[in-house]
Amino acid sequence: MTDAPPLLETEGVTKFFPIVRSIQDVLGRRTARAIHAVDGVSITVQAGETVGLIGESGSGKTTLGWVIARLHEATGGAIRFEGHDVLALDGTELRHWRHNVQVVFQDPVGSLDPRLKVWQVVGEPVRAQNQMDRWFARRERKRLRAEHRAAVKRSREAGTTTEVPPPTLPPMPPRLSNADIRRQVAVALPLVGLMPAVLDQYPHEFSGGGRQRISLARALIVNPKLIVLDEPTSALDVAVQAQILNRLIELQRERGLAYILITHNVAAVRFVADRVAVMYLGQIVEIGPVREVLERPVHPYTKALLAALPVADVRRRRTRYRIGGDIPTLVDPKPGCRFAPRCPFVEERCKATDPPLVPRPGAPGHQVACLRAEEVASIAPAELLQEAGPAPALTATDGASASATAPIS
Amino acid sequence: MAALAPTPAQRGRRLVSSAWRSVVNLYKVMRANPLSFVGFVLVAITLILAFIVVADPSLIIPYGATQDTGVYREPPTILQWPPSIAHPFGTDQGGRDIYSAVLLALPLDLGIGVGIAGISVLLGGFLGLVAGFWDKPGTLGGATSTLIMRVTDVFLAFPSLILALAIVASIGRGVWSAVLAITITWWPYYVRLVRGEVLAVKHLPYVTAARAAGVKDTRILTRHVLRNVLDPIIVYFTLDIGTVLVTFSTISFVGAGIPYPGPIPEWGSMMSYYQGNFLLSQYWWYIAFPAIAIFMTALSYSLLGDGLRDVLDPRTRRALTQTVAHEPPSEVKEAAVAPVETPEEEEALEESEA
Amino acid sequence: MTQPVLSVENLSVEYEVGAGRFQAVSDVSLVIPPGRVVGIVGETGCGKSTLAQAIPRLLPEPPAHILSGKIIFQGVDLVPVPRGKLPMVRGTGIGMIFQEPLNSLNPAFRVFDQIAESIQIRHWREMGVLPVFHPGPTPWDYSHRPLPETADVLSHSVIPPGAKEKVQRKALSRADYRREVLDYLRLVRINDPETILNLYPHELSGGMRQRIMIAMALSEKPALLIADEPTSALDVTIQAQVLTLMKELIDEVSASILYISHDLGVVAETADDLGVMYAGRLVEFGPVADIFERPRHPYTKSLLRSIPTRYKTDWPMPTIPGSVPNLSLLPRGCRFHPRCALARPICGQEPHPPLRVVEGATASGTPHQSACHFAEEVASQP
Repeated sequence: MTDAPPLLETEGVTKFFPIVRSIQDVLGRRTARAIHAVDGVSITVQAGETVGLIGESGSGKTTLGWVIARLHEATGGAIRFEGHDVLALDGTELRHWRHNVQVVFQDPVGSLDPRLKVWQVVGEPVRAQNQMDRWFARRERKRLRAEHRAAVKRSREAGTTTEVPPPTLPPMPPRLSNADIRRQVAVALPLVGLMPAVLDQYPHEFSGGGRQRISLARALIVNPKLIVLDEPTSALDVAVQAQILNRLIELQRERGLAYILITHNVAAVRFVADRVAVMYLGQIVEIGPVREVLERPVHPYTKALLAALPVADVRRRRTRYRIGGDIPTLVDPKPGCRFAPRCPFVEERCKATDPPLVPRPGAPGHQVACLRAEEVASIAPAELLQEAGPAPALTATDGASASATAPIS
Repeated sequence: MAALAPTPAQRGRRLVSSAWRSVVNLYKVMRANPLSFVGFVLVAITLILAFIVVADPSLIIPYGATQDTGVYREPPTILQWPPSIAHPFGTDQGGRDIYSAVLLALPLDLGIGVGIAGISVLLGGFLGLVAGFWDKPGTLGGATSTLIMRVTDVFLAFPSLILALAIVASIGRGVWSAVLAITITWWPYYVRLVRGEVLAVKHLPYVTAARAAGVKDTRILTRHVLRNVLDPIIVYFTLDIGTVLVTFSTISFVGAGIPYPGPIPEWGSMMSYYQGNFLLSQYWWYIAFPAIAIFMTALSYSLLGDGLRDVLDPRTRRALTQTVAHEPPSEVKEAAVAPVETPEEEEALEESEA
Repeated sequence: MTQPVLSVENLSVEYEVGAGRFQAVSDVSLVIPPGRVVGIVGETGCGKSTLAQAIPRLLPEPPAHILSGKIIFQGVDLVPVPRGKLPMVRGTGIGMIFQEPLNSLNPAFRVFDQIAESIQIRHWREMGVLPVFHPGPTPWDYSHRPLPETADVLSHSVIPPGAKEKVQRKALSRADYRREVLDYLRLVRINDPETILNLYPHELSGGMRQRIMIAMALSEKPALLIADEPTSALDVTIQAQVLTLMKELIDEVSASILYISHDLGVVAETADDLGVMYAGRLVEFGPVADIFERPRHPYTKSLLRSIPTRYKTDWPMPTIPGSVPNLSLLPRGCRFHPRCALARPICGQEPHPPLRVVEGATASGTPHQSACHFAEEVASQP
């Protein structure tokens, strides 16, 4: 890996959603509870690479993506973008910074304002950035003029006769007209495979794939360095998914974009990502190069997740490992590994201590959060045959109900 | 390939075609919902009549108004006549032509209805927007929002009728006391309505997308939130005009509004005066026509509001253009329109057409 | 050969929307033998959901309209059945499982009430109280099952010999219902069924709700189960659980299943026969192993190839150019030919090729059919 500072670096980021206290809670003097959506995630993204975040619902992957894009406010931890602290940004500076990190949202229908035409939707970030550029320029010019005035005053008081040179003001960026914005949008549309002729159409006239392309064009048009893709393929058909994924990689190669690909579609991650992180209940349980993690998963949850995927191969029908239990919601978690209730390799110590995310010996890029990582590493998912039977839990609040079969030791 | 900026000719053509499309849509709506069409026509009639009465009363009102005693027929010799050709709504015991009185009252009542509803929309709507958009607990916006809502709750508790009487007792009768009373009790409803809508729209993905694009909060409010919130507000406003009208007439009826007989007639006060002083079984036309006027005006706005809601509310809009109350499978929805999007599609389409 | 449970012949369904009318399903024929799982796969806009809803006549008749064809369920054609008698048909043997159980379970009723309702209808049907449109033979055949282990329901509903007439007349008590509901819940592998009996659907997780839907569908003892994307809304591990459950139930219960999905992996796991739909037509049908190993239609071939199985270094992935045609703007001739790599002039001129048995296909029960002029060529090319 390079020595350049990473494009994005998070350290121990947490995001808690407080649960509104009911009257009973207040009267019963119960302490305020919160859902630990993201609990201590440290991840780095280099320029030009794709990091995949996979996990199921409740894993916190979408929340993490939004926190990185500052659409949610992090409850704790640090986020640095190109070395600068992102969490300290505020107001117009924050909004100006946003052009660096753009988001493509999950819902292609909902993320486009139905009342706006395509050129207005895709051109909105351009207009916003233009206004901010002008605001910054105006502020700079005012400051320089004030400095000049102060310098003139000082020289007059000092009695010198030399002229204070007039300030060199930076040029004011022109206000983009509608025609200008349309022009820029017309350049951006072919990048995602849309014809410029669709400028004046409405989003609801497009298919799902078309709408997703519009969202992508909107993200690209301000030349971001990092795009957070939140389930870009889940609403699309297989053939359209393939087109969009191809296009994403092409754009990455041309422009050196970095992606954070959040999805539960492991096949998409396999194709697009360089590194992949597996999340479970707000924490990263395994992270490493995509080939390593997907072909030789170490963490039991990763094994289970990969084994649970339906594979379009008829010969592999019968040998499948399946874990029991439902995915719990995480309210005020107790110490100990969060996967312990469902883990087939669980031991007593797993329930007592939080497993740290440590690199595997001999593979520094591949980190696993499991106390028994090295012992279970060699067990391939397909070998864990499962008999009929473990029941799913109810809407468990702590996942402590029905577990899988007896632990394999 | 479309030009980047449409030429004037293209723009003109597009305008014409979109105007034609809205006319066709309107026709479809009216056909599907004939009552709303009736409402639309009636509203148009009331507006035209009001305009005429204000501009040039003599066009439709044969008898002028005198200052202190209302509308007279000249010479004041024929009294208490039931409806006839010369006096379509009859005259009262003072020789006043009821028809002229009813028509003269139209612009006042209509204007007051629209005016009160309008002020309520503007004031209540603005407060609702603020309260809905910046309402994160623990911030200044959240505190303001809570304050607005609690004040609204207080005002909601006032009964308009009692309040009107109280105001009249302190500042006397007249248009303004009635208007004041109604407006005070009317704007809170809009705060609640708008705030609810804003809360619903605020979390929609496209608002978040706009935030992610770096758009300023106030601009998000005006550009995204307001537009999508406008529809139910327009519907409510239209429906409200009728309700305000009835409330105003009721307030006048109980004696808190404009006195009658007086310089300007008003339906509610007319009804109050006649009802209090005359034997209505004998002189039915005194009270029937003002009552019908109130009823028809309020009804026409209600019907129009209903029709507008069917058109504007996207949840029920589809029910008009399709007779299906059940969600059709996805391929049906996609097949409705889907123009050519990508160059490959265009080639495919050309090939298939060749 | 035993009579197939379902035989669809040349079914065409037309839709009338504001703009005009178009055919969502054109000339589809398929046969579901008893005890088999038939999968239908296709992308959005191919007509599979319309087909799934048309078979039990669930489509609302004003905008939808069965243009032609027959739907022969257990020997009776359902198409000419008048609307009023349709509930009887559905209650007689077709169960449905939908995609989003939150939408298909009544949010105002508890779990017990919902399952008990289907059981009640079935009991009325068995007692002869409910008029039955087609009193077919009971679809359940226990002869091949050695001993019921997990499914107590099977031993409970067996009427003790000699008490047939009497028991049939007696209505069930609440305790009987409770017992049956619990049995069905255990059938779908819910370990602690007593605790969920009193819960509402929104209090349960997605996987749980789907199991309840399956329990409800099975409690009617259907001859045919139509599953319309039952696991698409679930998480991956929960999906695996539900799929495994369904496969085990297929072995225990002798209903046939029509499984609709857009996910090729899922049908590869569950189906015995597979049909591929494109733009309202069935373009390939055959044994699932055969279709995956040697697809005989260009669309199926490209579809299988565009599932990403490789890494970034293998970019770009082969894709099908263009996108699924709009059902109201279909190309002339073969509907796939504008995007087909093998297209010849004849593909655009001749009408859409019919589904025909491909020569050279291995005969393993279901013949392998393809709707392509050049099906043999497709098989031989890599």
